[in-house]
Amino acid sequence: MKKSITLTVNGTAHTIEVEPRTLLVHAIREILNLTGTHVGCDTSSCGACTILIEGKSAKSCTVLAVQANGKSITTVEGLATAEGLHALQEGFHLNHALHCGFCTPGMMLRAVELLEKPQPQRRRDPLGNIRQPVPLHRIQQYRQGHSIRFRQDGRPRIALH
Amino acid sequence: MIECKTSKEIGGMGHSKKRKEDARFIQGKGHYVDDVKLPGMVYMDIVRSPYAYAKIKRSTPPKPWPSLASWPW
Ligand code: FES
Repeated sequence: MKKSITLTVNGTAHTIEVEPRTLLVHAIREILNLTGTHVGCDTSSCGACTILIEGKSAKSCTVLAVQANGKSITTVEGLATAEGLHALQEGFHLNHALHCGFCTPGMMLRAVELLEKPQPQRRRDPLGNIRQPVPLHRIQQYRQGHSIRFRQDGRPRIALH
Repeated sequence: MIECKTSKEIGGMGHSKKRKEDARFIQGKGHYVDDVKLPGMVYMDIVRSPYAYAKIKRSTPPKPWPSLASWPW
């Protein structure tokens, strides 16, 4: 029996029919056709499927689509705005923080959440993503550099949908 | 130590290169195998025999398969 749910993805509301067992990542990829969110392991280990639900990162292969009913979701497709790329997207590019790019959407969305946290928490926060042999130090370098820049020039918090 | 570096204008040696393919990857526009959708595309499953040496006389598809594109026997 299918259930009708409403997801607000990157600012647009979609009402879709899903089976109760449908995983959120499959709803996003196969029903909404947003294939930027990837399935790396399907077992909650890798983080390639990370998205933001109400601004909080979640591994969408571990969330049922029906659990996200009525929630607002951000995927990699929603990071850039009309003004251009998100600072994190630019930073990942400039600092060579990706190779094949498969895990990158998850990495970036997780980083978005980390950067919104107060500093002490951020330092303790483990990296919830497993990666291909991507230069992690570059990602960290970038994440740190980014947070410093954030504090010094007092730029506003990252606006999310 | 000799520094091997070309000038900034020339680039190349001693300069990091900006990757051209990043743009699509950081925006979720990469096209990976699982993103490919073609008309009439099906998933394949390989069912293996539990017997090391035997003759296949017949096989029946498991019941709950909703739409089976083909079943060999
Ligand atoms: S696909 Fe969800 S954690 Fe790996």
